[in-house]
Amino acid sequence: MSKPILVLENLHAAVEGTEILRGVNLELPPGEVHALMGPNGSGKSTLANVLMGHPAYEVTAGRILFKGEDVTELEADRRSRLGMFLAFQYPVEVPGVSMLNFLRQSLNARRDQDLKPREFRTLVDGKLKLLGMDKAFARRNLNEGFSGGEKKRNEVLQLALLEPELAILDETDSGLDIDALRIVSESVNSMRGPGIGFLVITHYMRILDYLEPDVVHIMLGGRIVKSGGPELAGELEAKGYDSVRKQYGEPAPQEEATAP
Amino acid sequence: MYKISSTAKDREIEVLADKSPTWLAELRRDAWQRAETLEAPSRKDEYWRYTDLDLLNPESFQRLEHGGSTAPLKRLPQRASSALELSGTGSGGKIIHADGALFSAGLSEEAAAKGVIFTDLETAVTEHEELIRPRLGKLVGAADIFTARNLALHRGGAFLYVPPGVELSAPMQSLHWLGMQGTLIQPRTVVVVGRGAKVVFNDIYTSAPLARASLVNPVTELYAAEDSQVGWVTWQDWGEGVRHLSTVKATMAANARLNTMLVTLGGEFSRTWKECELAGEGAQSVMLGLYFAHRKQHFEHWTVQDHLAPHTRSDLLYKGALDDQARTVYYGTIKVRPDANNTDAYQANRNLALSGSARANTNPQLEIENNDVRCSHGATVGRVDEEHLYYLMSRGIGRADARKLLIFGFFNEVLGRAQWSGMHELLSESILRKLAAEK
Ligand SMILES: Nc1ncnc2c1ncn2[C@@H]1O[C@H](COP(=O)(O)OP(=O)(O)O)[C@@H](O)[C@H]1O
Ligand SMILES: [Mg+2]
Repeated sequence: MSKPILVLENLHAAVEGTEILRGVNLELPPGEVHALMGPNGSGKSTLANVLMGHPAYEVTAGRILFKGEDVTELEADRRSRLGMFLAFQYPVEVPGVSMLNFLRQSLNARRDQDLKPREFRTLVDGKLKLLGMDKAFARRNLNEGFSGGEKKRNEVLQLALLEPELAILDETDSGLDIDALRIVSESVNSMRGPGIGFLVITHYMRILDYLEPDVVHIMLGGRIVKSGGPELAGELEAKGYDSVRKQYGEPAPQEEATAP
Repeated sequence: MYKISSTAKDREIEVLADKSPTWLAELRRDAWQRAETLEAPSRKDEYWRYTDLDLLNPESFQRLEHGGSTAPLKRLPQRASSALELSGTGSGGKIIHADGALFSAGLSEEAAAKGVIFTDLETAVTEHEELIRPRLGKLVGAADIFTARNLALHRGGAFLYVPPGVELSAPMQSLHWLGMQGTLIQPRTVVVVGRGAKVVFNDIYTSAPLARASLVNPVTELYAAEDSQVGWVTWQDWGEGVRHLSTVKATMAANARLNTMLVTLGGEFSRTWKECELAGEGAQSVMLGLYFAHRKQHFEHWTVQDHLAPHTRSDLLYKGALDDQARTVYYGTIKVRPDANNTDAYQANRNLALSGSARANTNPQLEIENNDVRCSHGATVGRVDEEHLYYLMSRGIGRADARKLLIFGFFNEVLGRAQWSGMHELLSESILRKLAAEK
């Protein structure tokens, strides 16, 4: 079996002194799609941002290995250039920064070469078409005045352009209508392959009907409490998160504060 | 402070008065007398409380007796010629001064054929007395010692007259170049736009860096007649070592449209007073401002939106970034006079502090004497948003480049509203130069 794209070893992380991730372990081999599910507030977005290198979160223990390399201390731009990508749950609006300028700079950074303007435009237009998005989209400012759905699609556009080796999708499905969800899922499916691993964070089950995960993880209180096959998602759908809570309990913060 | 009245100085006013037509000689002498009796400003004065007045003492600078440089320019320097591209739409005429003296003057055939007058001020006061006499010194008189001195001793500057109904597509451009150190330059410019006429005017100030400071004390008076449409760009990109103290005032007749953009980038000290008087019913003005101060630069922008007539509208947005130990001051007043029913007046000043030791001061003021107004004003001083920075970096863009993108993004709100295509590139160059400058 080939080397995992992502390995999380006993990952602990805190924000402003409060520990939120309390020992996450995970292994994601290339070519696989893993779903990460869990109730609101269980720490899914925190995990996503810790993986991407958000400066507000401090890794207090454990480490993150990307393609075998320890990236725990790297800044976000380095992680991106190495091939990590996060589609944000709530993408920020960046006023005045043009989409084209932004996309060009990030593509050039990711590829470590300056694309010719023509090449670049062709590439962007191609991806826009693939995602059923209007060309005018690229002439706007980065997420400025975008609807919720437009922001999500913009994340997928960037995912498609940057061709990462690890794609983390943080509730990309929420805020999309059923048609948009299908288009987004289809384009994600078309990116699937041996060179890329997906971590799909979702609160709902419906995107999993399209994406067919290899593994489903359930997160509770900052830890992955259960992992299993796709049937786990179905189980959750039937019984809800309460049954998981009952089974595993929400670990009290104090118990964990002294962990390794 | 500012002790004057040595015989040498008296001689200066006499030299200038002798060279002027009688009406102007009189105006000059009156202004000179006023300048001598006016009290020098002090920091106790609200309007001068941010200013280091020692920097502006006219007596610390030499005057050029005859106007003109000791080493006359042969060719227009690159920095000046590229600034002339700021409109990106060619040029309808150029009046260029170097060190306070006329360097060259030119007018496009189109503009000349349409009866446009665009000359240096000295030519205008003799050849176009009927146009300029009723206006010179009427908007900006001798209210304080600096404007009084300009009125008395002005030398250089441009006169633009656009006859009624004439529309010009290419901008009329006045450029001031400075190469001399330790001098005082006091140009005065008068712009007269006739009824229904349409024009863009560029007022450009640029120079090489100076080792010893020079002071520039320019005054501009602009008259926009009924139904005229005026674009007005002021571009201040002096080299280091220049001190800039400018006073500009515009008056707008009924239904006139005035779009102004003021850019401040250069010099070690820059203070601009910009006043826009909406004197005729239905007049509308847009006042945009952009500034970027770094190192120890000190910029002050004072604005007045003065609504005198009903159904007038003014919309002001000034945005500035400041880095290193720079200091910026914005002080803006909206005045709504008793007769100005149904007024819309908006004012916003936004500052982006790029370093912990930069200081921005912002001061919006309202003087409302009418109840029938819609008015808003806002002022902010913020930093680069960490979430924005993270978002850009998460796409592979390095911290420094991400910061640059955000700084340009900050300015784009203003640039996007200005219709002058060449300005984008010029401004990018200047900002990148400043960001790259050694600290
Ligand atoms: N930047 C932050 N500052 C303070 N608290 C945070 C921050 N980010 C997350 N949290 C807290 O961490 C917990 C997990 O949040 P989050 O990771 O967003 O959960 P999920 O994505 O699973 O809904 C919540 O209690 C939330 O309030
Ligand atoms: Mg979340």
